[in-house]
Amino acid sequence: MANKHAASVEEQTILRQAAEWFATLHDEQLCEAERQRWRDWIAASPAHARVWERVNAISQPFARATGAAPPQALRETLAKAQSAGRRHTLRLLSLGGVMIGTGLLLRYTLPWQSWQHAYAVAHADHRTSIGERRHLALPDGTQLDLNTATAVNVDYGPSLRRIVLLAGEILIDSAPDNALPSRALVVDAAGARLTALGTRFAVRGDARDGHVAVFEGAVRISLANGVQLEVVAGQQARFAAEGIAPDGSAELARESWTRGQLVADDLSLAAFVGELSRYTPVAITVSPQAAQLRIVGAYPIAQPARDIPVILAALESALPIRVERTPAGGIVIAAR
Amino acid sequence: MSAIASPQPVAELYRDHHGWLHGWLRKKLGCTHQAADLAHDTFVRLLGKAEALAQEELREPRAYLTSVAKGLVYNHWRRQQLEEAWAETLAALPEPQVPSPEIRLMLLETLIEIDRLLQTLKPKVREAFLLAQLDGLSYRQIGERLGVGERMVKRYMAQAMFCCLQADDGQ
Repeated sequence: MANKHAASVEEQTILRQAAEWFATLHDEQLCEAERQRWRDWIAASPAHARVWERVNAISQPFARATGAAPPQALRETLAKAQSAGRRHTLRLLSLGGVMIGTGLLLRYTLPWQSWQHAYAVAHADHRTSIGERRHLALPDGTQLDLNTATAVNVDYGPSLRRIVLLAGEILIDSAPDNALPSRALVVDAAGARLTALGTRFAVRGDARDGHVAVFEGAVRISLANGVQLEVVAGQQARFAAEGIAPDGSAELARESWTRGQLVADDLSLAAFVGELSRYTPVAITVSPQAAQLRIVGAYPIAQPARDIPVILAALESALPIRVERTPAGGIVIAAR
Repeated sequence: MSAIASPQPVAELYRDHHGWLHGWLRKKLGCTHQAADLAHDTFVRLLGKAEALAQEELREPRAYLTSVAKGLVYNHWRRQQLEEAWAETLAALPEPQVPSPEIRLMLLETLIEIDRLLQTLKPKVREAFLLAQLDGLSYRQIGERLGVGERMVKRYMAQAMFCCLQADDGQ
């Protein structure tokens, strides 16, 4: 019994030290020497490392909640429950250590990421709906264009100018940073980080797949697994968290949308309709016989509701196709 | 100091005291179904504590049973309070900020987990910790909000983590 008590005093000391380190590491004014002392502390004993793992585990529910709901709403809920529960708390505080496990929570961890993504898209700093385009001037002078159905967060911090592309397509015309020391401009998309190297470039992506087309300067793509590729002006590339693939010459279409133009440089009708569909909630289908017809041209898409019927009429007169409305409100393109 | 991990003592306890515990819980909760659920949970919990049961606690089996059951009753109430508070908060949120049903449920479980960790914290310590962990505020920003210096905020943070580590121990 005496031994057990001694062990718990020692354990308490380690808990206290770990808590101190936690508070120190969260301090913005942390210096590298202190960080090194923290590493030394962890390395000093397996017991330290074990307790530090618990510190990390305790931070996890907070990390999970952050970004999934407004922080104020979370804090309010906890405060309300706290004041409602004060009576019971006083009565039962001494029993607080006995708890139900978190098995329920584990069930939700797998699909969690896609929910988190859908939630993040719905609550992004800047969003466009289907068919909408928007131009933004960021505080540093960087110009940001949002294409149809796009969601981005703009996160300019002391050391980084960070744009997070959650969905859709953006074109960035980067400006040199006016802050000193100057901060890198990065776009986080589809599990990769794109670092702008003085440039104008377009990024398209969702949670999984990304595409970048570079028109001026260069962009470095970096993946979490260490793979990097520099894409120079006139080139484009595809990327995902697992890898990067060069994708030939930068297509004009990846830039022309900012001027309200849909450019088809020898596209199949199926691919062209795929592009067109991004600008309208109406379902457009192409029959297999018509899918492989080729299209060249620039089409206005500035106001999709007005322009899409015009484009379809133009296609109908130029190609051997028939455009039909279905009773459900969809559009079917069939070979004549 | 013989630590025999055997379900035997639990089976004995169940036979001798389950009916009594169910009655005790029914009086506390005013609902026979909830009482049955929690009585069941109490014994399930005891299965994981065979070592403790082999020792002194068994001298007062009913006191021990009620102490475990009280913890579960407390959790049950606490969960209800959080459910209600969460529903209220959601009802007050503007439409575009309301999360989907799946996220709402996930967040409720997360809030319960966070609430469990923070139970014993003093109000300012708790607030400082939440502002840092949920809002991502700096010590300076938190200090301004709470009207204290940065060094005090740092001390709050250490206190908070220390209490969390201790609460986590009872898991």
